[in-house]
Amino acid sequence: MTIPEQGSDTDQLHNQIIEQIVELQREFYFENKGKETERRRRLRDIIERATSGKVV
Amino acid sequence: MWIEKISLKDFRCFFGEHEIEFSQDPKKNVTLIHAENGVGKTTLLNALLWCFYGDTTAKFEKRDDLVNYDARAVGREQAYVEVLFEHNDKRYRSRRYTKRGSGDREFTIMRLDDGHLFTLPNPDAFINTVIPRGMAGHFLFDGEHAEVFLGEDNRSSIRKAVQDILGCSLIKTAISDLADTATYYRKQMPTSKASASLDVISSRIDTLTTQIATAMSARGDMLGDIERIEQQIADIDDKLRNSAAARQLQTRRDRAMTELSRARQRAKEAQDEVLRWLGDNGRYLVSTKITELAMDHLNQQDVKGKLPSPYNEEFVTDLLEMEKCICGADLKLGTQAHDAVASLLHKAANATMRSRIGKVRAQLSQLRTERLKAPGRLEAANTRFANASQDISRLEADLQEISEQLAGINFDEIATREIRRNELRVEANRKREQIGSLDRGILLSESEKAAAERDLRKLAAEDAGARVFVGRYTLCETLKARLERELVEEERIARSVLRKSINSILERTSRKAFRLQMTDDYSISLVNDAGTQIPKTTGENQLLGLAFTAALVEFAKLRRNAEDYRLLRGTVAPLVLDSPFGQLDDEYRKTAAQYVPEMAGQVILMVSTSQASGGVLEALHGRIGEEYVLIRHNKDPREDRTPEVKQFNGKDVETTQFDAEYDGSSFFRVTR
Repeated sequence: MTIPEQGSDTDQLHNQIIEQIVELQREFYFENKGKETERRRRLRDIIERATSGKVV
Repeated sequence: MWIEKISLKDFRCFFGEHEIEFSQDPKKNVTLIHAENGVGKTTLLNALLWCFYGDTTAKFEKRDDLVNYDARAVGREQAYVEVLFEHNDKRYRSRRYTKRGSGDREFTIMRLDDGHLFTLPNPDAFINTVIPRGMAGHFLFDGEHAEVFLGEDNRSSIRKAVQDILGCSLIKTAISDLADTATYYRKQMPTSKASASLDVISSRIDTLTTQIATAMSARGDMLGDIERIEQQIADIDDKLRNSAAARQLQTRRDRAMTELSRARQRAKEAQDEVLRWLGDNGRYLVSTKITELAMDHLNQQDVKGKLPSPYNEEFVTDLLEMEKCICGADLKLGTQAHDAVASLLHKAANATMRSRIGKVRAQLSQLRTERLKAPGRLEAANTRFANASQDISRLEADLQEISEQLAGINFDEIATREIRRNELRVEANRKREQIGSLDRGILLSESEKAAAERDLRKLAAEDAGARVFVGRYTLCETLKARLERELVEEERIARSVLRKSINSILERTSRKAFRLQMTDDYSISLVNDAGTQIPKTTGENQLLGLAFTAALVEFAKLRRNAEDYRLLRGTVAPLVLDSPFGQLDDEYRKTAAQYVPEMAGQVILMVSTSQASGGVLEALHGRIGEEYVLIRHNKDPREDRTPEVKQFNGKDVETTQFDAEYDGSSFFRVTR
């Protein structure tokens, strides 16, 4: 996943990233409470995948 | 969720096994539990919370010491709480044990299908889908501590409550994680030729971030201070309103006194006029009959030709003496002509008589005219007197009322209060100036931080290694800012819904015409129709707490099928009210009690004898499906103590027992 430069595309991509982040939060909220380090590590994975192609 | 039954074994004050069933009748949806202080109301409330989440309320003392002491004394080291409940048309049994060995399963939830039990693989996750933990606390209303929630400096509690029911836990943790991750990436930038500058800028960003956070926190504290000051001012204003009312009353009294004096003068004048009229016209009234008779007689004489007299006596006598008529005929004595003229003397009258008759006629005519005029003049005087008397009565009643109101005002304290009020105004204005200064500081820091971030990106662009981290850092910051904006908007909508709901509840339950004002920074106040802040009494605070809880429960229900993936869904759950009427007077108690069954589908209401008084039971009539009494057991001998027996639904219940097997509590069903 890469970060497009155009505004609307960027918005769309941000929506997708936020969806992934919220899904991650939901998973940890219901099933893996108290595992913040693990949760943040997986959040970094999401961010790194999103920025792997282009710089925002 | 509907709770069917709770069972407790060796849990705190419950020695051995105890259970109660809750009403599931939608019409009789209240389960009423009578309990005096210290008998186990709070334990029951916490048993529910603990069974589902392994947690208790912050106020629950010795939170880790859950096993009953007598049970321990006989070798039992584990307690449990079991709750049987229904959710989405399925029945479940939730059970939590206190910790013993490492191999024990503390918490289980089983689904009951056609007599079979299926253990759910992840009970924590499941119970959080039924009632998210953040929301659960808002279904438990602790009346004894409600004023803390709605007291001064309450904005953070209220914001948390709104966010909890809004189900924004996921957004909040995402924002927090993104902030943490952004910092992580910024600090990860590799050493390079630009690293020294990058380090400096990065440190500057850290400093500015801390400065902004500190200033925001100080700003929040100051807003809290201003809120407290405004509340104090509202309190003084209320008392001064009495003083202002005193001034107004005094003005009203002065005006009333002047009016009264004028009214009294008018009454006197009207009365004098009546008396004068009587003096002037009384004789006409009393002589009506005589006047009429005299006039009739004169008129008759007139008709008969006797009046006015046709012949002048002096003239006839002169003719007879001269023995010569004016026609030239001789009037010698003994002649027929003399006799004829002499006979005229019978009808003749002299000047005095004519004058008298003329006067009598004139007098009688005046009497008649005045008598005809008399009623109009008297009526006018009487009307003026009646109006003046009416005004006097009204003004005297006004003055009496003013006097009573004035009697209730302490004038000595007015000056002191006015001085204190001015001091508070100055203090609040000073704090506002400080907030203004902080706001300018925050704006400058944010602007400098943005510039530093631009510099950072620019420098990092020259370094391929750093560029990657700046990209990640920037993305984190962008997403965080967007989620923050979205959260603010969701909260705005939630506040609007809650405000409307609370005001509708207050309209139904409060005897004062006030409404709730909840600002964007969650400052809560009660205002009258004119928008003036009014002080909250302890009772009104508790009523507000109840209204707030009811509004949260309603909002949670409204959101039970919410589709927004960023927010947790709302829920329907039983509402547990512990001592909700403690601070209310009888009238408010009755109104609040009438409203209690409407607050949720299933209500568990716990009250002491005194709290159930003042019309509470009457107000709940027909809405109680189950009713229990919590009984206190003491191992101590009774000795000289008088048995404590109370009546519930016609049943005599000894609420405190002695010579018991254990120290603790038990339930006694008294359902009608």
